[in-house]
Amino acid sequence: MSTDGPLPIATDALEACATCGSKSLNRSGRTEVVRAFDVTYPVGGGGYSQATYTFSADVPAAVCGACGAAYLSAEALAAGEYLITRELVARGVGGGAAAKWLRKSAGMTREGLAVLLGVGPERVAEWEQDRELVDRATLLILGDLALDAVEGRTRTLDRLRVVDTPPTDVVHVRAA
Amino acid sequence: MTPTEALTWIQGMFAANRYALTPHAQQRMRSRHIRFDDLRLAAASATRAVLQPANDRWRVEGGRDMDGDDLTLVVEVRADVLIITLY
Repeated sequence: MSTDGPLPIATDALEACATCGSKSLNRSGRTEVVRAFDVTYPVGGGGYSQATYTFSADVPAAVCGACGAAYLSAEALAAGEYLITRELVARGVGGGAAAKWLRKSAGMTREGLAVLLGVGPERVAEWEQDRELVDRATLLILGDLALDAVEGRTRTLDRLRVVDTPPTDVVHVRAA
Repeated sequence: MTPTEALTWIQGMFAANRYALTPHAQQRMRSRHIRFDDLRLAAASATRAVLQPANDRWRVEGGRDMDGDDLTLVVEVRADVLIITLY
């Protein structure tokens, strides 16, 4: 395997279906990356209700013409995860599963997020295991961190770090 | 291929995104919410590869995901691509 230059998508190198052995693989096929998120939310009278949001991202795949098995490349998986992250944030989906997804999209460990938000790591675990509701402000920050990461920015991360390290000297600023 | 050679080869293939996920692997990822980065980290941190003679697949063990949890990968090594079959 050469590592010179851009590598072809790995599913193009499949010679036969790993499920049935057929060589009739359609490398221009499509499949779906699907993830479901359970959300617990408060209702009147101190009770709680649950809903499940299912996100389905349509991505390229190699699909067997004989048995229909679809093979996903790393690039297609990453693209599907990006689309799901974007939709999760756009729709403001809360709950532990979504919080965990967004944290991972941001490339952060539970401990790293806890330090950034000024809470204990057990608090992050409680959110993600639906033992405590994720508040709106935290959800917004998580969404911004995740979107920044998948779109190659560090704006929210930088701002959170600045909040934690106030300037110790006089800072001069001047309007243009 | 020795287990040590296999592990090095498999880790190199993962690092270069040279893998394809079977429908079964995709289903397991869906139910366990395993992410692209979990696969990458589990492969990179794996400590051994064990050949399963019954099906000629390698169990890639000792790796950890983004949360530090164990994540074992089962892969089939083809000429220019890894086929990930199970977790």
